[in-house]
Formats: sequence, structure tokens, C-alpha cells
Amino acid sequence: MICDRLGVDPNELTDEVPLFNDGIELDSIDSLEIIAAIDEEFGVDMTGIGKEPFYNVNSLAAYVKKELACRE
Amino acid sequence: MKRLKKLGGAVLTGAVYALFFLPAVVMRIMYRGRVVYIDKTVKSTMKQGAVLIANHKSHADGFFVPMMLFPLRVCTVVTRKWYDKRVLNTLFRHMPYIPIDLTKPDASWMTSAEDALKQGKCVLIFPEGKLEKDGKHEPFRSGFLLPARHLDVSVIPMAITGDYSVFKRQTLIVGKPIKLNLHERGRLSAVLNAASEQCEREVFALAGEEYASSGRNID
Repeated sequence: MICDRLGVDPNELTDEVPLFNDGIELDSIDSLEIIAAIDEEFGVDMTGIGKEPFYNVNSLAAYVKKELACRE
Repeated sequence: MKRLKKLGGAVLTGAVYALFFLPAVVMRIMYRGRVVYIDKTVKSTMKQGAVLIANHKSHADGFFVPMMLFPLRVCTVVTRKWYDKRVLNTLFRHMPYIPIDLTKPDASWMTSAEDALKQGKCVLIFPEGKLEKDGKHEPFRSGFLLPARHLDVSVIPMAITGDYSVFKRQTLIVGKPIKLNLHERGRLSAVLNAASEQCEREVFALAGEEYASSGRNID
């Protein structure tokens, strides 16, 4: 999803690499697109939450999983 | 019950239109407001829903543009800083304004903007994100292009000229839709930043002001 929507090279992206700053250097526009994509794909609204879930793919996946589990 | 609800909705819509109509007349008289279309065919594009972008010199811009374009349905994106002010909030909540929080990643405005665009409404955004200071432009923030990219709607540049002096001419210049390739291959942020710079140039060219990049490309 991140590669498709943000045009990130799949070779650059691993589950652990930081998404912002020293990692693959995403910016605020990318974070908006991530929020929109996660909302579309999983129905999870990430608006207004802290920075931690955006650290890397693992933390994003963990946040989405947790939110989905809370609904069940 | 359904009929009553329908009637209530129609009355409310009528009331909102009336609320817009009177100030629209006042704007035209007090500020001698006028709209100049570079190409009048843009009107049909606007009726299908489009992202409208303009320079931002005064807090009055957010009222002036929708009123000058009345009866075209325009939703204006306004910062939470203003949207949440006690007295203004009552007005904003009942009028077509979309709040945006610029202090954190806020995608809720995008959902509202995209809903409005899907209904054929126009969404007005001031991409500078704040007022110009001392005549110096702020660089455009490229987020305004996301709804246009998601829905493939037109981006129409506009320029507001005049300083809202009573009985002096206040003009809204509406340009032609900007030809953008928002689906170009590459990093999203790079594609949108390039397109945003193009939009910035077009808006300030319309305003008849020399394009100044506000430091973005200056070492």
C-alpha cells in the first residue's frame, strides 16, 4: 500500500525502516496519504493520533491490528 | 414524517442560501466586488465540482470568494484556529465551511472535501495556509492537491485583488483549469510539490504579481 500510494521504491521499504526523517524520508503529505489509505482499506481513522504509530510499517500494522481487535 | 423531514431540509437549505444572498449583494455594493473570468467556459467545469485555489491576503477572503461566486456551491476550508472560535463556530457549523487542523496530520478535511466534490460542489482552499505578511507570499502547501488527485477533478486558480476598502474595487479573477499530471510516476511528495509550485506560479501570475518563491528555491 505504501509503495503503491506514495511511490516508494519497494527495495527501500522494509518493516523496520523508519518512515520519516532518517528512514525513507516521508513528509507530512505522505502521512496524510497514509491516513487516507488506512481509512479506505481498513476503516481505521488515524486522524489526530500521536507520531508513534507512524514510526515504521510494523508500528502502523500494530496500530491497525489493535484498533480492529478493539471492535470485535 | 419523511415529508416533514424533506420539507425541513428544504427550508434549511433555503435559509442558508438566503444567508448567503444578502451578504453577497452587500459585498458587491460595498466593495464593488466583481468576478473576471479569463475564460468563461470554466464556469461549466466549476459546476461539476473543482478545487479552487487563491492567494490569501485577508480574513475576509473566505467570505468574499463564496459570495462572489454565489449561487455556485462553494465549500471553504478554514483552519481550526478560526473554526473553533466561539461566535464564529456557530456560523461556520451551519455554513459550508470545512475545518482543517494545521498543527497535526489531519485527514478529516480531506474526507469532507472529497464528499463535497463528489456532490458537484467546489472546494475553496488557500494553499498558503495563512495570511500573506507584508505582501510576501507564503509557499503553497501541496496537500490541497490530494483531493484533486484522488478524484481527478480540476484545479482552478483564482486571484483576489484589492484591499477591501469600502467602495473601492475588489476583484476575483478566475483562471483556466491548471493542466497537472498528479499521477506521474515517482514519490508522491515530489510529484505534488512540483505541481504545487506550478499552481503557485499560476495564481500569482493571475494576480499580476511577480512570482516569488518565498525562499523555497533560494539557497
